[in-house]
Amino acid sequence: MQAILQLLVSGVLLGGVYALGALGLNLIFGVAKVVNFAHGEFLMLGMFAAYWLMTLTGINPYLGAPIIGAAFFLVGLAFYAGLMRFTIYKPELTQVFATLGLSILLQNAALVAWSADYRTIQIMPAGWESIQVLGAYVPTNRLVAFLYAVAILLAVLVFLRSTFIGRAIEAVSQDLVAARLMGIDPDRVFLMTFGLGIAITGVAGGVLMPSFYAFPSVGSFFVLVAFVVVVLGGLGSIAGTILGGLLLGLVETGIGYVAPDLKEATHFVLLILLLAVRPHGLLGVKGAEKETLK
Amino acid sequence: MIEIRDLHAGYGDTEVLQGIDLDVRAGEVVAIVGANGVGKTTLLRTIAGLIAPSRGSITAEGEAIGGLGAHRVVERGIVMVPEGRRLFPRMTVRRNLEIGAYAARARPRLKQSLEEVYALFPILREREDQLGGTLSGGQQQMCAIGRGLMALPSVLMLDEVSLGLAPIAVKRVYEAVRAIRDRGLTLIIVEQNVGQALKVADRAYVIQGGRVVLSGTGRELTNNEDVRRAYLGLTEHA
Ligand SMILES: Nc1ncnc2c1ncn2[C@@H]1O[C@H](COP(=O)(O)OP(=O)(O)OP(=O)(O)O)[C@@H](O)[C@H]1O
Ligand SMILES: [Mg+2]
Repeated sequence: MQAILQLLVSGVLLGGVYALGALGLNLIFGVAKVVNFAHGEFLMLGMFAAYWLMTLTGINPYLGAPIIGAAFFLVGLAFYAGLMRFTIYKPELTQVFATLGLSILLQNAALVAWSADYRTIQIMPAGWESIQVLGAYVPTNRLVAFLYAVAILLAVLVFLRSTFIGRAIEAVSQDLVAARLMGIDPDRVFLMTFGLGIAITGVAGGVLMPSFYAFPSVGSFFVLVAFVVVVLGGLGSIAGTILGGLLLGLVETGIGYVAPDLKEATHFVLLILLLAVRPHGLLGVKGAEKETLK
Repeated sequence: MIEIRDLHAGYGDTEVLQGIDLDVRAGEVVAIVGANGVGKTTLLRTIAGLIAPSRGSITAEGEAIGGLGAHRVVERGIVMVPEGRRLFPRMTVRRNLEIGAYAARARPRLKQSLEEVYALFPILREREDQLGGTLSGGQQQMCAIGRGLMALPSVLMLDEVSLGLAPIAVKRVYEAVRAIRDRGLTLIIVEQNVGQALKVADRAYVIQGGRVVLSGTGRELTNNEDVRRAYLGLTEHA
């Protein structure tokens, strides 16, 4: 009983974090139909941003998340205006090459700038690394990251539902032509979507920093997780991202308990199974995996 | 209101429109008639700014709008209700209507416009919390027209509003079209159902081979032998 409670708590905490880490990827896919293969690198940059913010100014990422978010919003705007804008109505392969190329570039730039060292930061004061809740052990870093995940997911949902630009983003994701006929400027929507998606991803990297090591190629691990979450929960669906994150967190934690050696394989096996059986995911729209703007 | 001169447009290398000349005056209802695949939708899409003309000009109240981009055309009050309705399938009826008022010119009057659309189509108020994708064909068409009206158009373009609808729904939709006309809106109507279109239209244009081959008042065209043979023979009873 105790073990199950512990597994549930750990699984949900991990799942929330996974959902946050995948949200930006799914938002950009849902609206611009672009699979961002550099997603993991933006997470990596978010982690390094948190690391340097803490190291150079002493501001910890839990307090500095808004700064990271604002900075990465600008990074997202630049990403769209400087690169993705030129690929947006092009064949999928063009977008794959553009984002994959950027991913390699960012990884190597990080390697040159910061070396391959593993870095971490300590935030929670000694004695507060974990707390006990109903007998379950809860790492405080994970808990804070989880709370951030919940807050950001809710904020994004409210933003998309209640502001004009949020609704325009939603409209473009559902029908680009109809959206244009409503007077929506798709270029502006894509720009905002990349800004928002990368801001979320930067913040996700930042709040993950205290519980994971940062190094230049860490993105390759997270991008795989993010793909599984998105494909599991549903392409283009925010509710699906939450569901996918939670399910993956629970499955991974459960498998890690009964067969620790297989934990790493979970992602690959799930991804392959899903792509074969239900490529649009649990809550995604049927056919979403084939959608392009072209 | 709208003047089209020597308009050429199409998709990639295929030129569908090959020199269209057409005028729409304020307050009139203009029908555009032609065989399947002749380019009626392409013409509306080009006016709406979804397609950039390869040659020729479109002016609205003296201002060139060809190739401006759809969002700028909407801001000038020229609004298209697309073929196939194209509601946002995972938004409620109410959200679909509200997004229709996205244009800066329409936003300040959103609440009032919504009431007007609900007055025109009371069924939409009943269904306001239902998802667009779950409505019947007729209700979807009403929602699509309502969404177009939310943008406060001065010119409303309707593409095949009766296509695939049950006769009773066609009747309801055309009652609404007449009500919209009576408010003084300028309308451009494209219809398979030529008889229906010519009945509400002040004037009509027949397109063939990428050009206008015939034009006249609705009555003139209804009585024209060629038009009767080509278009009305099949649809006279409709
Ligand atoms: N997106 C597109 N890409 C390429 N060709 C297209 C596209 N849309 C339409 N066409 C072609 O352009 C021509 C004109 O099409 P359009 O839809 O404008 O005709 P229409 O008169 O509206 O026909 P319908 O009565 O079937 O609605 C057709 O030959 C069609 O095959
Ligand atoms: Mg058509």
